[in-house]
Amino acid sequence: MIRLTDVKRSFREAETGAEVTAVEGLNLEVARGEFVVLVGPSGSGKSTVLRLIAGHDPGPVQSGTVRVDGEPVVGISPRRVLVSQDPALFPWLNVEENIRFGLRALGRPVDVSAWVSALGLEGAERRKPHELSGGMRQRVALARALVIEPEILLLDEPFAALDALAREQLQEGLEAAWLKTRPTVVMVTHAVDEALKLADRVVVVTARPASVCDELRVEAPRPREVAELGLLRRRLSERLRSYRAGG
Amino acid sequence: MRLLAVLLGLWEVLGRVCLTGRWAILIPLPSRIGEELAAMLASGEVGVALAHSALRVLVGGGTGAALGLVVGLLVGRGGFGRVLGSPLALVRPIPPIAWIPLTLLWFGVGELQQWAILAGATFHVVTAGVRDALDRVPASLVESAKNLGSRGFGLELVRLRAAAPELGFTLREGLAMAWFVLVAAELVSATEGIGVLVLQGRDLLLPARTFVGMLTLSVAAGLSDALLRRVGFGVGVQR
Repeated sequence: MIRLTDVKRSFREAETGAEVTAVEGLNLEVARGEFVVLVGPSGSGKSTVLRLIAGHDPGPVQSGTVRVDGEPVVGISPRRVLVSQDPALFPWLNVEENIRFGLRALGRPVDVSAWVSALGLEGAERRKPHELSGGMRQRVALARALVIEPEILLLDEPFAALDALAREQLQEGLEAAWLKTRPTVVMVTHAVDEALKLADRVVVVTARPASVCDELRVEAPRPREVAELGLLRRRLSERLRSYRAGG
Repeated sequence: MRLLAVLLGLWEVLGRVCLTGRWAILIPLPSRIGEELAAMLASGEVGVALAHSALRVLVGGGTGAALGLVVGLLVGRGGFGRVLGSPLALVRPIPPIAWIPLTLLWFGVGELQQWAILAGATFHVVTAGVRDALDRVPASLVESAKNLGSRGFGLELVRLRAAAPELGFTLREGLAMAWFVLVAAELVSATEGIGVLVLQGRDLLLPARTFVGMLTLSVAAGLSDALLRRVGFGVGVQR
């Protein structure tokens, strides 16, 4: 459903004016309903890949193609929603209103109670973002995105800023929500365990410029105990280490 | 507050000891100013002056702020509006006082001329602030809104709501500017007002009046700002 072909994307660095190639020769295919996780060293252009699929930053320098269902991606669309580390909640709206935002904008019925429960937000509906913890905010950001039932959900290290417990709870919440509506998911993370827990397929991305250098299918049944995936985990960690070292 | 009391006390004591001859008249002591203040309050002079000046600030400053808001939004949106940015930047550094001769020629002596000076000063503060406020709206917020399906006018509203606290703060800055240039605005042609009291200090050789005028100005500006803050303007802006 999503196909990136030989994608190259460069930026002009603001301070030095130097051209930085974030992504080069990247090929990636994601099937409908698949949960794909991109892992790789920091700053390896993984975020750029997500933004390209989402249609943010069309940018001046680009070659290759980014297609969804055969059509090139042009601009932002509610069919391809991006959720980042920064939840970017609307500070003047409470939890419920934030979640309803997309539905309102798209003129759809605004009953969000099911999603409020699904992400464990009962009781917090009237609270404003500044009254919430980091974990709660990310739940709201996720609910807000899931509620409009996008075809593609793009997650850019959404749980990186959270403590271990919140992280675990949100991973479970995400998986449960995903199983309900089965959007196509492309997620970026550093955490190997997180990748193995959630992914149908783990894609290893090299350091800048980003391109795909390895893939791992995870066929264990859900929900998974990552401790039982010991062998897979070791393989993945080894590969990441070797790519980091430039091997 | 305590520091203020100490400084006033020092002024009083040192003044009595060191000021002699004409300096005793030219630099009034706090006690003398207090006397004058009491007298002027009793006679209603302060009240009348305040009323006139406050009305001027409201009309002149208010007009400038309203215009500034509109133009600031046009410029801040980007696109066509940005064109206005350069001519505004050229005019902004010109101080209100420099506009007095022209405004007198165009509007003659009277309220309109004073409103023009106040409006001009407020206008520039507000356009700059509004433009800044819009620039400061985090791109991630606007992107999120767009991603969730917001378009056109709805999207503009998101930008405005995100900028609202800063916009409120800018309006308060505009008000402060109006009070700030009030005396200059009243300089040439006003017959009643706080600026008039300030000027009378020299004209009547009663410098205590000038201090009373300054004090009234300070209190009026502070109270009006506090009022706006109470109503929610610029609450929550970290500066």
